[in-house]
Amino acid sequence: MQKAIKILNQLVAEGLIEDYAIGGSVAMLFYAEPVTTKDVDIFIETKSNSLVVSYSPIYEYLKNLGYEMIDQHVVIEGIAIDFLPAYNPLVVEALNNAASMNYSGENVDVFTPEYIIAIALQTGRPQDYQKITILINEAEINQDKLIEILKKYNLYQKWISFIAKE
Amino acid sequence: MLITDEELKKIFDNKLKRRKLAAQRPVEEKFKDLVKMQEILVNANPKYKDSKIIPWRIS
Repeated sequence: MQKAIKILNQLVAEGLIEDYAIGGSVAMLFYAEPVTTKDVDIFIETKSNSLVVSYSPIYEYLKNLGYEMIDQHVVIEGIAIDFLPAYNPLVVEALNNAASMNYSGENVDVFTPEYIIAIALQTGRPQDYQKITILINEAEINQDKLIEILKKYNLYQKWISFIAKE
Repeated sequence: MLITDEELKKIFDNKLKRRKLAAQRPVEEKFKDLVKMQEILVNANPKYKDSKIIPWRIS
């Protein structure tokens, strides 16, 4: 994982991406116990800040470093990385407010638990609700911040319904 | 509204009290556990047998 993070930081240093942050299940590792996942979700911000992101320069760069592509994933040191655009205003905000963490000496930006919950609630698949349950039971969450985000993105009623069922 | 803000806060606070200490383990340690879990997932579920993605092939 350390090597994968190093490569991501290299992509920023080379100007291929503006910024990135880890989201999804692997981001949860920083706050809670692990849950299985297919890949590492890396949300990226590009210079154009467009939803139509060209991944070709990133893939080309990684290919030249000898990394394999499998479907939409780049396999870096054995870990499947899925590059995703910051696809809506909530995800853009999550990216801009990502927490700076440390993994074995490497700096890495990670979505905060409040944004992971909000995105999971917005996405709304069974596996997303499972993530929320794990985070509210295990992670340290800033309740005021969470409520602020949920209200801003019209997710508060959905949250109330979810908590009532928990 | 199904429940009040105050009730919501109470529910939430109770959940936080039950927070597992195990979740405070170093992330590197948890990552190693995740890799083991990925392997168990593959062995337990035939649909992942031919997958090139799961488990992660950690070098």
